[in-house]
Amino acid sequence: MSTTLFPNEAFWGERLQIAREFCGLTQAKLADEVSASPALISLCEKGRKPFPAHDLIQAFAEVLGFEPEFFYGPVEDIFREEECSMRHRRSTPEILKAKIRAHGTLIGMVINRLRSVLHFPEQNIPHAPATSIEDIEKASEQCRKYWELGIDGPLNQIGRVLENAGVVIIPNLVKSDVDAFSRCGPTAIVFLNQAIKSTSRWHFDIGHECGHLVMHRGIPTGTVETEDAANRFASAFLMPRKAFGREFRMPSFDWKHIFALKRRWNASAQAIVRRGYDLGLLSAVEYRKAYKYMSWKGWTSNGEPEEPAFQEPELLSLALNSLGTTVELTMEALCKELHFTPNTFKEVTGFSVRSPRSKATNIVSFAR
Amino acid sequence: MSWKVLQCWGMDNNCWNPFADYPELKEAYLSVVADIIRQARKEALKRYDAAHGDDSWSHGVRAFAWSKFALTEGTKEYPWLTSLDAVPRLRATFAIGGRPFRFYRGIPKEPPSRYLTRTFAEIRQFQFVLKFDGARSIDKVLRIAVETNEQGETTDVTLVEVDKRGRVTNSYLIPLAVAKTNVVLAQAPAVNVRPPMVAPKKSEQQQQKAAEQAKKKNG
Repeated sequence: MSTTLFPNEAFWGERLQIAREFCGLTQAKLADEVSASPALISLCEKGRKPFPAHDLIQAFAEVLGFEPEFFYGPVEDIFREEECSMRHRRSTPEILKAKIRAHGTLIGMVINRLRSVLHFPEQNIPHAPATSIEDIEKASEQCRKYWELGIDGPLNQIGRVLENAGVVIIPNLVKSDVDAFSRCGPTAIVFLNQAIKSTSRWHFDIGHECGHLVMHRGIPTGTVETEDAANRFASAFLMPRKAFGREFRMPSFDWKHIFALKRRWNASAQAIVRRGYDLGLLSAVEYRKAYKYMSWKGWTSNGEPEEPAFQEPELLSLALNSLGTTVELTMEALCKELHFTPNTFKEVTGFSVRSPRSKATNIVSFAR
Repeated sequence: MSWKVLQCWGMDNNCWNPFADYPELKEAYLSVVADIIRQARKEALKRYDAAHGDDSWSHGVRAFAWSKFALTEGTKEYPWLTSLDAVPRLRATFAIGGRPFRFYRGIPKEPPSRYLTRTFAEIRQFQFVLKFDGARSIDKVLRIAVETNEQGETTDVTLVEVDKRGRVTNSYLIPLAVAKTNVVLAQAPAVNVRPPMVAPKKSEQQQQKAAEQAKKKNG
């Protein structure tokens, strides 16, 4: 009798790595959990052990929260480091970044399967590499024109702009170290940190990731230059220079005016003040005083007053909610096909799947 | 005498432009405040009833209280006008664009001594708020002087700047009413983005059916 689970199929090391990283485990920690050596785990992940023992795969499945079948077969679309942009603190540990990329790969599997039964908006992101301030401003204006948003008014739903351009927004990051994450590839995704309670900061994060998708395709990000460029893009995209400049002017600095602008432009007071400074409408002294005041008020750390209404990302929830209604595929079947456990499916998508055990199979309806 | 001439009668015969020293003050704002006080005093004057014992003292008290109340009500309508008192006080202190002021009835040249002292609200506003708001620190206080004629009708309302020693350093006759302009800032409306759509793909059978139906339609 063979000791491997599927003797005719090769164990896929990349899948083990994705599952391990998604659980935030190191190779040593996983080895410890399944009573194996770290060297064995490394061999499995590198594909040098194509037929691991049956019980080892079962142990992987139990510890990592997947069905044993998950570890077989190639992965169509892996989120590689060079394709991903992450808005994080410099101290963010590598294991957390790997976890987020693995999460992206898993959500990518879900979306790929959903694409086989549903028409998603076509990916439609303009490419405009830019490094100088003038080029970034122009790139943001080009994007607004490309998506027919004009360059005169505020955007009421910035999330929808990206979702209509085929980017799936997922509010699933929970660690406060990473504000946002994006990936431009066959499946374009923006992850947002749902621990951030400020809607205006969410808007800015979406604009920032949009900047990476537009300007930094194929370019490694995470440097001060690329992050500053993405910040400038977000400012310019949310608050185009000419229209914003006209409305920003005030005889003397006035917080009421700043908050009136916040209500209109759906951006944080912090972003508005910074934009005013960047456009030369505020002096360095005024900007520093304003920043100090915001810091003193606790707005920079605890959030600002008068936040815009929260806008839930819609694309993924629309797709998942149509399962079992407009399409035959159900969420339970999707979970089973992908070989996720219900808990893992919930962690990946934020949507609950009924556990097969909880299904009431012995209920018979009354005859009429 | 036109108000332009009056504007120049300052203590040292100077023409004072308060908006240069206090950019948070605006002509339109001062005009609104002056109108509120003028209107409140007019209403109070209507209630003057000598037959029932009203005298200049009772009228003065009522006019002051009504003016104070009208300004407090005004804070609800005008975001730039604020009351600096957490609880209603006799020595009411208000602010225009964060710059505090008090008001009195009397001539601008000689503000009563009781109106020269800084209230706690004024001091707090200077120390905690104006500094953070980046306003220029000026070691002077602002008062609004309301002048009346013998009949008790308001004649002039003047902004007065008083230094530490209680000397009036500048004054500005507030114009009766600044004409309201109908010019508004052109603002493009906000862009409403349509929600994203997902549509089910048709199965092969459905596609075949659709193709057959189309053929039939085309004959």
